[in-house]
Amino acid sequence: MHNSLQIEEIAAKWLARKDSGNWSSADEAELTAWLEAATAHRVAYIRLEAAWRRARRLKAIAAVAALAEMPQQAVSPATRID
Amino acid sequence: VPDPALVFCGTMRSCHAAVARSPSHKSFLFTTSRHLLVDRIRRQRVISFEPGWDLDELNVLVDEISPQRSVGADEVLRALARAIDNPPPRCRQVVWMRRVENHSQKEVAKRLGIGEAMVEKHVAKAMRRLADALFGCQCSEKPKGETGNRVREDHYAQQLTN
Repeated sequence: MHNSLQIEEIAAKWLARKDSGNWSSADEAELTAWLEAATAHRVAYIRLEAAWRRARRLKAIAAVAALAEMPQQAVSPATRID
Repeated sequence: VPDPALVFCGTMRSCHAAVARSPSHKSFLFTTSRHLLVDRIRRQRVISFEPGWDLDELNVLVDEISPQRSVGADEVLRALARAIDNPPPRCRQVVWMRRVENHSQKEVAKRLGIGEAMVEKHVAKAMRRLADALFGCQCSEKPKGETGNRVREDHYAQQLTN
């Protein structure tokens, strides 16, 4: 029996593999079997999946950081919304 | 095709000067972007989002519109920022390229000059760090008698004050 950290490690490997794009129907079947094997597996997987999805919000930081680096003259008055 | 971040920034013309003068502290950037975007939505201006700006990012703004959710959005961004600041540089680069710049794993491997398997390893590690930052740490068992919420709050407080 795996402890929670080991389960999390396995869940992360599955999720990273799925996210990589190198993913077959055999992989999908294997993952489904692993998820169905224990509630703890599903909990770990969903937790990591939610975190990884939320990491997209970092774009909000990227947008403003890019803005700060943009030269003043790069924004013409025509683009102004106000 | 223009960079989505820059296109988006073009819509935020009015805060440009203030941001450019700033020492670029993250907290300042959060505040400025949030206020500006919320302001835009309140005035019901139409903001054109390039593909790649999905609902996840928009939720940052939508959270602010609904008062009962306004506490969450800031904390999520702060926790994410801390989490991405902490990992080793390579791990951080991989998160940024995959989640912010939307590069494929193959592309990231090529840019960093490492194998795809290594990128995948960094992604797996990053997911765990991000989850710990967002939802509380898995690294120790919770003490008996304490609620999960309490543990998470403590962890959050630590994240925010460090």
